[in-house]
Amino acid sequence: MQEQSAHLAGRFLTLTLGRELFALGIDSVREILDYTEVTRIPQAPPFMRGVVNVRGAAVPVMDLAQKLGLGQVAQTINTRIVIMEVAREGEVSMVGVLADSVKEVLEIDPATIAPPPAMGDSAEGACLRGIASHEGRFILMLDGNRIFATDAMYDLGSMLGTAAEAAPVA
Amino acid sequence: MQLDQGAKAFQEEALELLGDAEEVLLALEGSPHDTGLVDRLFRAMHTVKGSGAMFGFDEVARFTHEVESLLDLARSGALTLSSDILSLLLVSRDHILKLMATTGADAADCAASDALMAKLRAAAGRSETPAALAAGPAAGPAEKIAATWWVRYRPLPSTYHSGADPMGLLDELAGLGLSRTVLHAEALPAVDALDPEIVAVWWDMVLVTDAGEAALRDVFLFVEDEHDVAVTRLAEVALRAADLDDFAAILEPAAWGGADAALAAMVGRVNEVLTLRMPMEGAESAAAGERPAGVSTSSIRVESERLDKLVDLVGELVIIQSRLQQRAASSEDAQGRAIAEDLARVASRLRDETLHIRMVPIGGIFGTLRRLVRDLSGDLGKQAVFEAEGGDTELDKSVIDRLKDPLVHILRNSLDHGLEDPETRQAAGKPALGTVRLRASHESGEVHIVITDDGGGVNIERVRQKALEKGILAPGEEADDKRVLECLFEPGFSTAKAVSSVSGRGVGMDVVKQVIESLRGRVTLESTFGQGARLTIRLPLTLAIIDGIQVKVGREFYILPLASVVACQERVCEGPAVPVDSIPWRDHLTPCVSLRALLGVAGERPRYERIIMASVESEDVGLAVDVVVGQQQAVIKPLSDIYKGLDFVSGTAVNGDGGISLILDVPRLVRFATATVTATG
Repeated sequence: MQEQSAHLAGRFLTLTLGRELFALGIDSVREILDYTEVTRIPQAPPFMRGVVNVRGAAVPVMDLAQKLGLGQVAQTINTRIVIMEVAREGEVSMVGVLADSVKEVLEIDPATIAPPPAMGDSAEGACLRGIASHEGRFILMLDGNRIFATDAMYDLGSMLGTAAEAAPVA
Repeated sequence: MQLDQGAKAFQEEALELLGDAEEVLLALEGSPHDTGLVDRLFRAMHTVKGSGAMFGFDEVARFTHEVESLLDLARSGALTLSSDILSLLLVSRDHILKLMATTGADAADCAASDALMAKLRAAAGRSETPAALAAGPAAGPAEKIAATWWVRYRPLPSTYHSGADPMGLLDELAGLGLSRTVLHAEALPAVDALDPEIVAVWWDMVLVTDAGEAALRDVFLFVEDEHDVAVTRLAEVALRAADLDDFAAILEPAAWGGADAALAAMVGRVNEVLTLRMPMEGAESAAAGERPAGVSTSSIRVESERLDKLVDLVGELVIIQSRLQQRAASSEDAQGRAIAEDLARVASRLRDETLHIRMVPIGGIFGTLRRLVRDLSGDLGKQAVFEAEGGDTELDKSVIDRLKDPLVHILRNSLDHGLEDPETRQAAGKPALGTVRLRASHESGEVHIVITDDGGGVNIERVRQKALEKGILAPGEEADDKRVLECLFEPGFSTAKAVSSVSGRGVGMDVVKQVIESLRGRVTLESTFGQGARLTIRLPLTLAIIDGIQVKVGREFYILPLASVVACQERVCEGPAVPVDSIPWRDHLTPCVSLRALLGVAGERPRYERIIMASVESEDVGLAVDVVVGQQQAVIKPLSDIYKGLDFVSGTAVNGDGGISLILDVPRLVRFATATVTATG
């Protein structure tokens, strides 16, 4: 358990979706853009908003809230697009995720990371690599590769009700 | 295995030489006595052998040596290159290509080499490699170091009486490597006192060879005892032709007795040369000493990746400059506008030049195709010749690379199914020799590749039967000849009675069509039963840039390839948009696809719509959009593989204002529309 968590230690970029706080490993984050015009790509799943122009390349952008079953990302002055690299089918792809806001980079102590709760058959926790605790708040640590691997949507909304009850391992 | 720089350079050079060799061999079929061609071939093999030895490709050197010996005989006229021998040489060339993949050689390769070498020797009329001829490797591939030698040879005056021919010996010697010969004729009497049966001259020869001292001495094996022969090593490295020229100049005035002085002078020169030269150069120069004719020295080899990066950067530059220009155009700053215009001009020229760099003449693959036709016709028991036109038509290199397999398959098809065997042809009043012709040309902004054969054409009825069997044609469906021919391009179609080992498996005409469409091209087939078939491939000039018409639907921008656009018309809109309805065009009711409905564009339908009339596989279809923005040249960027299921979007382009347009693949869009309509009933 401790070994698993150990490799998750390091620096993370935190972002918000609604009232929840999420974390992405800093190594995979390339840049952070202000919300800019997203070109719709037809015939795509609802959480794929489209593509944005990053220096000439058309980078796909995902509405992370919609993917995780937490509503939708609205367009406000705090909305950001986080451009990151994920591994897809053995290759590295540039992708973007929409977030309500981007917070700071945190150093997370492995001792505070708990595995995601398993609720019977549901694989809802599969999009997370773990749940950390920081200054009294829970931080949901995202698995970027997993999120972009399939078109499956998650329903973290209901899962988060029980997450609050799982006390982090001291 | 790790190959060092030198070995890699050798491999690249050898590949070129072997490619050239194949062309020459095929050309020799038509003119076996062309000494120029034989010479070129000999030099190519000679270089491959020498360089191969130098960089550790011992088996290549050992084998090529035998090929070279055979060619030497041909070169001196002692052997005629019959069709059988040419076939053997082609197989040998292929073997060398195989050996070149690695510096080591396993037992199987060596055995294969031995077998071929025996055949080569038999063809040359020799049963074993005697020492007298251009000396083979003495003890296996061990001592193949090129060195520079000086040979002095003075035959006895009575040489001719004993049957030996000094010229023959000198030729043998010269055949061992790069050489310069100096004739000393100071003792030659005047013409009226000349006795032609007496040898009154002697020779100095300097040569660069890897043959080793034993081989050099072997040339004079039978005359060594009586004639004066001196073999001296000048340098333990291979010097250059220019250096040999210098030596020749030193030896020219030298007398027989002045050997020491001449040697001293030459050794001095050797030392000069060696101290000046860098180690790398030394290895290359001897190999480069004899460049075969036709290799241009004013070009540079560049890795494709570097070119791709360059094209990418230029593409970005063009996009940024176009945004700058838009901004400048709407500003009051006259100077700014002028600068933006200048920048636009230069950027446009830069882009054209860069894209042009990747253009390569299609003639480069003609050799491979010619070889294929030759080999395959033999295997199939048919007689066929490959004729090609328009070899200097240039295409983007990546397009040619991807076209190779489809072209090979098309030719295989022609030979296997199209051309009849000689008896059938003659019975039909045709010449026994069939012709497969390929013509490449530039026509109205496209590249056209037309392949014709004078075979039996396509048996329309049999194809129709097969298409009905496979369900490609519906039982009651009215299908004209054109439609039936199109069935040949459907997946799962093969009229070969047995899937021959030659064609049919894996690659099919459907794959050919897919590849060509993925290059944004089109392919059509025409046939005249009994007379032959014609396959036409149309391709855009370049993959990186598209000439398109930009359209707007709602707030979204799309680009349609200009090549598929025929005309534009208008219509008044009534009611909500439907994916497919019809529109009158040229006296027919033509299907019309609404991009708004098909692609789910948000917003209200406008009062008027513009309809772009497009031609898809010679069928007309209308594409309804809100606004036709205008003609645009756009740099294509691929769409992320996250959207790989979306086949009707072939890429994206950045607009002047930084927004993105989706580039539509019209045939696939129409197919998608058809599928959508069929699915919803």
